[in-house]
Amino acid sequence: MEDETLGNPPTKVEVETVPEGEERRDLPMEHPGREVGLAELAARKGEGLAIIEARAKILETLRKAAIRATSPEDWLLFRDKVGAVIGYLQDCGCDRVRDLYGIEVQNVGRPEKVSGEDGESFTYLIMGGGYCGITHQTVESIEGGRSSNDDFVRDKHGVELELAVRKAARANLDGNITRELAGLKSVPLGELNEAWKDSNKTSADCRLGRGFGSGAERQGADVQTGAGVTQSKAPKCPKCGGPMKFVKAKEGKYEAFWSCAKYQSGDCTAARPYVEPPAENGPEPSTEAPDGDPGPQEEDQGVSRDDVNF
Amino acid sequence: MTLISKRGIADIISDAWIAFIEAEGRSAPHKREYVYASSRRECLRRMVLEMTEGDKLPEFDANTLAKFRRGNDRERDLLNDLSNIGRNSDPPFEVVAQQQRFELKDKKGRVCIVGKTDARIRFERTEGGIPVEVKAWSPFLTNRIERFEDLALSPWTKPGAFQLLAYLLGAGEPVGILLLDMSGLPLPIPVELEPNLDMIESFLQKAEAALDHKEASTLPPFIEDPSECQRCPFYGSVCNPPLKHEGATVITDPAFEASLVRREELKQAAKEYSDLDKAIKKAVYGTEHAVAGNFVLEGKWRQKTVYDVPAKKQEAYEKLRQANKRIEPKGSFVLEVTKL
Repeated sequence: MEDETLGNPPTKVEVETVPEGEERRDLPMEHPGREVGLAELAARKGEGLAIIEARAKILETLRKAAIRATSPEDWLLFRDKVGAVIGYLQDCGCDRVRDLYGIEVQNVGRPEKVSGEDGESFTYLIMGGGYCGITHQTVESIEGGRSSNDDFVRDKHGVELELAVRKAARANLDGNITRELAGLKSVPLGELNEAWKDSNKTSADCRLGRGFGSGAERQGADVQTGAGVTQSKAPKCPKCGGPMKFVKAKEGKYEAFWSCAKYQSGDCTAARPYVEPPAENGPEPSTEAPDGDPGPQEEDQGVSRDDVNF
Repeated sequence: MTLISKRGIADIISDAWIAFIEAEGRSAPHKREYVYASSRRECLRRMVLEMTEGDKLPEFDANTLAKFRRGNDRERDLLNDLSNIGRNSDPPFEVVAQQQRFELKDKKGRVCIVGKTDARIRFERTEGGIPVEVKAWSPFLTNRIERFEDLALSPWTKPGAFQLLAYLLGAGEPVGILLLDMSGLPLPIPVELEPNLDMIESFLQKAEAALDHKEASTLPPFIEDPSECQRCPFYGSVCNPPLKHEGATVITDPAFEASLVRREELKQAAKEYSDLDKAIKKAVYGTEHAVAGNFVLEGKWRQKTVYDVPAKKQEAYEKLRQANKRIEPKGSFVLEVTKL
C-alpha cells in the first residue's frame, strides 16, 4: 500500500541548505562565547541584530536545559521582599549543570580555618576563580565557606566535623562559581515551572526556605500549613466532621485548599477553599538552609541582597 | 508500664542496631605503607594520599560499617558454601589457604602492592590451588557483570579486576575465579592472567610511581576528570583540584536548526500516520481488493522465508550467542531530542 492513499500528500520538507560549491556563512559569531564588539555588529546592520538574537536564544535554551537537568530537591525556594517566590540552586544541584555550561573551577586556594569568638565554633573559607566554556566569562576571588554551626554537621564532632565543614566549604566554592557563571543564583519560580513543563518534576517538591514559615515548620513540626496557619486552625470537614488537611497550591494547577484528611483512604472526598488570613507580623525571618547548603547569603561577593532582589 | 509508641519501638531498635554495629569495633581509616591490591585508582594522586593522608579521612559511620559487615558475612557464607559443595562436586575440590597474604615487589625490589586472597580451591591430586576472590557488591553493580571485562564498566567494580589480577601474579597462577554474589545463584567468572598482563603491568607501574611520591613526600598532578574528583573522599578535605567540565557543543548551523524545527513539526503527524497505518492494515489484513470512499486498497500475499530450526539447535545457538556476549560501554548511541 502506498503512503499517499491515506490522504493528502506529505508536506514537502523545506530545509535551508547551502548550495553546492558555496561555503557555509560565517556562523560562529552566533556562538555566545565568541568576542564580538558593538562596532563590528553595527557594521553588519541587520545581520548584527540576528547574531545578537541567535546568541540570546542559545543562552536561553542552555538555561532551560540546565534547570531541566536539576531536580526540584536541588532548589531552595524563598520569598523576596515583595513576596515573589525565587529559586536558589543549591550546591548539590550545581554539580548537575557544570557539564552543560563547561564550567571550570580554577586557582583554588588553600582552605583557611577561622575560629569563632566562642572558641569552639569555626568556619572554613576557600577562595577560587572560574571560567565558563560557553560564554568565556571568568570570575575571580570567589569565596566558599561553611561553619561548624551549620545545621548539616549538627551530629558531627572532632575530626569528622572538621573534615565535613572543610569539604562543604569546597562544595560551596564550586557552587558559588557555578551559580555566578550560569546565572542560577535567583531564578523566578515561573521559570522553574516552565523548564520542567512536560516532565515529572514540579516546584512543589522544592525545598522551602526563608519566607515559608519557621525552620521547624518547614521541617513539618506542628505544623505550617499555609501562610501562618497551623494544623490546629484546620476547619472541620463539612461532610464527615473529621479533621481537614491543608493542601499547598500548585502553580498553574490549583489554589491552596483544605482537603478532608480521609481523602487518601477514599472515605471522604470533601474539600473547602483556603482563605488566607490577614498577615500579623509576617513570616519569621530565618537564615537556615537545609542539607548543609548555606542558601542565599546576606553578602554575596560584594553584592548586597537588595541588589539581587532577595 | 510505660506505653511505647509505634515510632518509639522503631527508634529503639534502630538505636540498638547502631550501638551494636559500632561496638563491633570501627575499622578506622589509616595511613598505609603500600598500595592495597583493592585500591587501584584512576587518580595517582589519590593513591598517594591513601598512603600518606589515609588517617585524615572521617571514620566510617554506622551505616557504612553495616554495609561492610553485610559484605563480610556474605563472603564468609559463600566460602563456607563453596567448601560444602566442593566435597560433592565432580571432580571434588577443597577450599584452602583462606586469607593468605601476598606481596608484589616493584623493579626496585620494594614491596609495592599487598593484599589477601580470599581462598584457593584445590582439586584432588593437584598442587597449589586456584585463587578465588569473592565479591558481594550491590546488585545494581553485579547485574551488569557476566564476564571479567564487564568489571571495567563501572568505576566501583573496576578496582576489583586489578585486584584479582594482582592475586594471580602474586600467586604465580595463570587462572583464578571471581565469585560474584548475586540475588540468586552466585556467579563464578574465570579470569586469565596472560591476556591481561598489560593491565597488571600498568597497575604495578602506577603503584611504583605512588611509592616514589610517598618516599619523596611529593604529590602527583591533579587528575583532569571531574567525575573522579566527585567520587574521591579526599576531594575538598585534603585535595582541592581545579575542575574542568567540557560544556555543551553549541551548533549554530541554521540548516541543522531548521531540520530540528521541521522534525518537531512532523512529530505529531508522524505518530498519527503510524497509528492509522497500523489500524488500516489490521482492518483489511488478508483482503486483496477493497474500495473505501475514493480509495482503493490492494493487497497481495508475498513469498516469505522462514527458518524451521530444530529447538535443540536453536537452544545451542542461543547458548553460543550468550557465551560470546559482551557489553560495549560505548556500543550504541541514543539521541534524545527535546524541544525546550
